[in-house]
Amino acid sequence: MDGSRNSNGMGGDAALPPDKRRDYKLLKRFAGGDEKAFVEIYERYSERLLKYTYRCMGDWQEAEDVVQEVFVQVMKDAAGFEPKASLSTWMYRIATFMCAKRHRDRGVRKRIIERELAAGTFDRPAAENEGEKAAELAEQAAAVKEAVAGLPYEQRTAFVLREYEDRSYGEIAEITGAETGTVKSRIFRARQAVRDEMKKRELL
Amino acid sequence: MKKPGPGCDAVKEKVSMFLDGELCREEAGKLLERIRNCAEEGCRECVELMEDLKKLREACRCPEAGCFVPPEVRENLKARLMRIMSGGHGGAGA
Repeated sequence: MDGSRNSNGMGGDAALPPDKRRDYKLLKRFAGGDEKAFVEIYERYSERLLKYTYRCMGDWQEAEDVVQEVFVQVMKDAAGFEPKASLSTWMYRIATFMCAKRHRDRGVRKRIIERELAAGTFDRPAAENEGEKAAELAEQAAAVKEAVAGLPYEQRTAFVLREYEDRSYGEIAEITGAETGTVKSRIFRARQAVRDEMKKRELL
Repeated sequence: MKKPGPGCDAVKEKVSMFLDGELCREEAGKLLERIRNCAEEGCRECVELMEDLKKLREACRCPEAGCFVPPEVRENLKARLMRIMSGGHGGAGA
């Protein structure tokens, strides 16, 4: 899959939903040289893209690099963006593609492990003294995070998009370039693996 | 007492889809009926799966599962992008 291409052949923005219209106008303004429009796009999407890529890569430095690549791609392709396409989906698609590319790179994996060893692995929620239920949830949330980090990349991406980003199967298919049926089974397999891990730890 | 059979894996996948709202009303109804019947015959695998997957979802969506972006990551990224933009962007075709 070429994650850097937006794909839509429709023109005109009058009938677009407000979010898409707003994104399209921002991109057009940016393409016309208005850098403030780019900052608006950045403010709108950077946080969620950073969280998403962090969940996929398990490392903030890698997440930062991937999201930088996403925004650079937006800079390059702003003028050619088609109004009916979803900027959000397009950006997530590029991010997913870039994460997959880095995930296959042994050098990147080695860097992540080295940073984890130096810093003390993944960050953990800090709500363990806020009552029994909160403590239990915090423990479960941390265990899920660790189990997700151990999933094969395609399953991890599908799980993160579904459970943390609340994307539909159709959207996940569009973002990852997989068939909807494949998305369905990836999510199911990921859930089974996470569930097994949680059961092993007696958290379910 | 009923035991899981060869067709049960497909049913379990549907449990996952049901929780995601990806089954139509008719399919959802059939699934719930099947699970209920199995439970009455002594097989609770799908009931337990549904309960566990609900708990998993709760664990993913509780505030404790929140992902906090370190401020320095956001600041670095913005600074890097602003440098790239001022060094090269010229609008269309840059």
